[in-house]
Amino acid sequence: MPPNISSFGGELDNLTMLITVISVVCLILAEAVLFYALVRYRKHPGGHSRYLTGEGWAQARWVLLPVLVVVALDFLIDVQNTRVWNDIKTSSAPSSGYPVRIIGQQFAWTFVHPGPDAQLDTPDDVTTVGELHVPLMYDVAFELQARDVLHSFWVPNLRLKQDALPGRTIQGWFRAEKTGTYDIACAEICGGGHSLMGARLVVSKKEDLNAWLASKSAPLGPGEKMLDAKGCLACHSTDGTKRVGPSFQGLWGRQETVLTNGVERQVAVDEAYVKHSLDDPTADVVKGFPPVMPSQAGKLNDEEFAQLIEFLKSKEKAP
Amino acid sequence: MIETVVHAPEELQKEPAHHEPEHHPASFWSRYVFSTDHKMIAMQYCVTSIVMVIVGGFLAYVFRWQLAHPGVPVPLFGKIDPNIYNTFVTMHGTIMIFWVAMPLLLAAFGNFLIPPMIGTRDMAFPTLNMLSYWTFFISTVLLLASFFVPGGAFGGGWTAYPPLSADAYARTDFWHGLGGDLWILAVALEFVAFLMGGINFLVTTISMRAPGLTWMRLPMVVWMIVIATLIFMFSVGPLIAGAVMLLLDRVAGTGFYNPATGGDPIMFQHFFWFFGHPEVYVILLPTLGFLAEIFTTFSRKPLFGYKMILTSTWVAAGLSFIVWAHHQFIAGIDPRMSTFFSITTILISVPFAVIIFSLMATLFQGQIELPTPMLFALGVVAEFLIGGVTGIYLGASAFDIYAHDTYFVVAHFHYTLIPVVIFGGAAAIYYWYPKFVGRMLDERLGKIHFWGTAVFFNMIFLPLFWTGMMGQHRRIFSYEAFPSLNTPLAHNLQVVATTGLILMALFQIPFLINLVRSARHGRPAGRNPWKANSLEWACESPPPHGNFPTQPEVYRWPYEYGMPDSAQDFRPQWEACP
Repeated sequence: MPPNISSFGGELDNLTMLITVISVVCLILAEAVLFYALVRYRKHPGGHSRYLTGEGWAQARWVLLPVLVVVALDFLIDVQNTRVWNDIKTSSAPSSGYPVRIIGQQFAWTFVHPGPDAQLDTPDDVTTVGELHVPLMYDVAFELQARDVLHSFWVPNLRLKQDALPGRTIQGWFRAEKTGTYDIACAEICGGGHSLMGARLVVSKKEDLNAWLASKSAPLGPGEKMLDAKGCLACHSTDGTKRVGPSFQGLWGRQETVLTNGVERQVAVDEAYVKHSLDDPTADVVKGFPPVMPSQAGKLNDEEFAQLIEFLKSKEKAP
Repeated sequence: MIETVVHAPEELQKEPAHHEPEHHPASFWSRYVFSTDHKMIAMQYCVTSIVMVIVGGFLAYVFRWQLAHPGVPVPLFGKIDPNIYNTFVTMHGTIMIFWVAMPLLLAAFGNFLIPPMIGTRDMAFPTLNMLSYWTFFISTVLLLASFFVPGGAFGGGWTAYPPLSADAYARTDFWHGLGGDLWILAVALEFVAFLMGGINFLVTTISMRAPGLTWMRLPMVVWMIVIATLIFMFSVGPLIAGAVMLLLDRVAGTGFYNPATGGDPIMFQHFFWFFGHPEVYVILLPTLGFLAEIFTTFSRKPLFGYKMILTSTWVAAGLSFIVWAHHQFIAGIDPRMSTFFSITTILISVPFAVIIFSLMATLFQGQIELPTPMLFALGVVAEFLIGGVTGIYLGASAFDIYAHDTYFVVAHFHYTLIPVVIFGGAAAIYYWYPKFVGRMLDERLGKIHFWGTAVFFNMIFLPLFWTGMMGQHRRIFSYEAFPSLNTPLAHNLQVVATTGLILMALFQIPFLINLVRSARHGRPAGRNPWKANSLEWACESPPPHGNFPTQPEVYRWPYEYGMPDSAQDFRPQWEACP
């Protein structure tokens, strides 16, 4: 297992070790008994097997006593497991914790951090894609949501995994005890881009985190706000950063090389192309990007589409 | 012990003593295609499942190649993209469970074994039996056809969780085509087929046992098939209902699983696993039955603890209905529920410990021979133990937080399913092939098959426990997006696993050659080549239409081996007391 960085991961690792010791010993014993029988009781000429039906305690105990041991070991594992499980999942998220919102969608993770006021849903919130920043040695109270299908928030180093469901907010918590950058993955199949759904967890000291937050806070324009709400910005950045899909910056009017049914051709990005790519995104795929965008047919009304075109025009030239 | 003697229905006893084959016109169509003979129907199920295991295995080869050699075109197939990868992973699971495990272990061997083992001519409803196979056949065609429709086959995982699978509103358009609808239809039709088969199994066993064959004299494998059938029938209803709702969500725009219209995606998971977990035992029990027959025959000893095994099986069957949510510990169900399901899950190890220990005790102080069927049967126990103990890991809900949906789970359930289906199925085929074909399988090819399978099976799945522990999650086309999971060690382990898969597949070739060649050139088997006790060995090999020339009578249980007072070390069920 990768190095543990969470407060509860140590307990989980201990439980794993307990089960490993018990099951490896039992497994070796059982295999040894099996192979012993095979070697010891091979057929030999003139041999006669013994008529044993397993009726009555005198015979049945050879099976039932080992089973009693199994029951005892099961009980031990149950007790330990219930304790660890309750620590991780049923003890409620501390209300004083550092709140973050984690949103899964095809095929990216969006994270909402509280600004200096330490509250979500206030104007100073900082939204990022693909990077979750949390303070070291703080209880982090997360709200987990999904925009479209099931996803699963999976951080091996935290020993934490939790499915995200559309239409529901799942509360949970963790506490990171080591600074560094760690992988976040999606562990529930969510479509063609499932394996692209990686993100990073950045654990840093509270002061460093605050400095980073301050550098990030910039209010969204009206078009940007709409795109953010629709989930577009999870895959398409507005500053030229390459994500799952092409960045919106400098996109308008550009000659793009696209793959249409596996054949390369040149296309100018104009209103018709954008419209077509929203309705049937896998028809013309920009070279170098995976064909995984879900169709947006019917998801933008005329006014929103006009906003999108307006926005793309405003991003035509690099700032 | 209940000693009621159940008599066969009068109709059967009044039948003339000889059932000549000419009573049944033997045109090609009536004999091999639309046959109502249980043995031919079993053969049809068996052949279909062997064809499907080749399809399912090829899919596994394609996606495992991608894991070992990302981006390199797959030999014999070509380049694959993430959507094809998802499709193949999904169809591999679907085919191996529903089109290989169930038709081979339950449908084929239930049909092969029940009538001759209980001493009757055929199933209670032969026409229904034929209908069962042909319904199954249509479902197979639908499933295979789904590969060729626009958009390709279904790719949302074999568990088909909505909203991804109910894409009418989630708009995951790669699978918007017919593929998903065909998948649901095929699975639902297949269950209809097995329900028809199951009715036959139950009615036949309850009402057509030979005179003297009391419940407590029933061969364990017949018990196991009956209990498996009951488990299947009691669990399948919710899944069929759930599948219909899923289909409606897809094609009629309903919102059973759509939170926006008040539906709930988790509801489907409950439907699926309420069936899905008992299903595991539907597959496991027939193989435990095979082991009971094979272990006793080749160690020349009575079955150890017949009543203990039977009681434990009923207990396990009951418990199997209250463990399902262990597949959903972290799916967003109330965490307090997990404690309950974790305890029941770990508890289910107790009845299975009784059964496995009893089977092992059957070997002690016996006279063990090791022909191919016995090797495969022993292979089931040796490998299944690994699947069993790793089940304890995953039953512990806290560890499952880490391991859920990783390769640890993948390795675990392959260590339960491959011993049960591949080893168990092979053991049964090697054991009963002489009876139903009339000729012995070649021992040398059989041993090559066994050792190749046993060694390379471990080579595939032992490394995957390791990559799972490292955190690699399943159904991932490429780990490039996760640097800490994409280590050289993890990659090398994936290469080892894929190499193991290719080698294990190659070692199935001697098996196929053996099956075909021995049918013509094998040594004639005679009636009772293994010197076994149960009633099917009283028939000719292969048994004629109608199995028995006269109604056999049963005088004892089927495990009378190694009696202290006798020079002969076995006494068949059909022989009157000496």
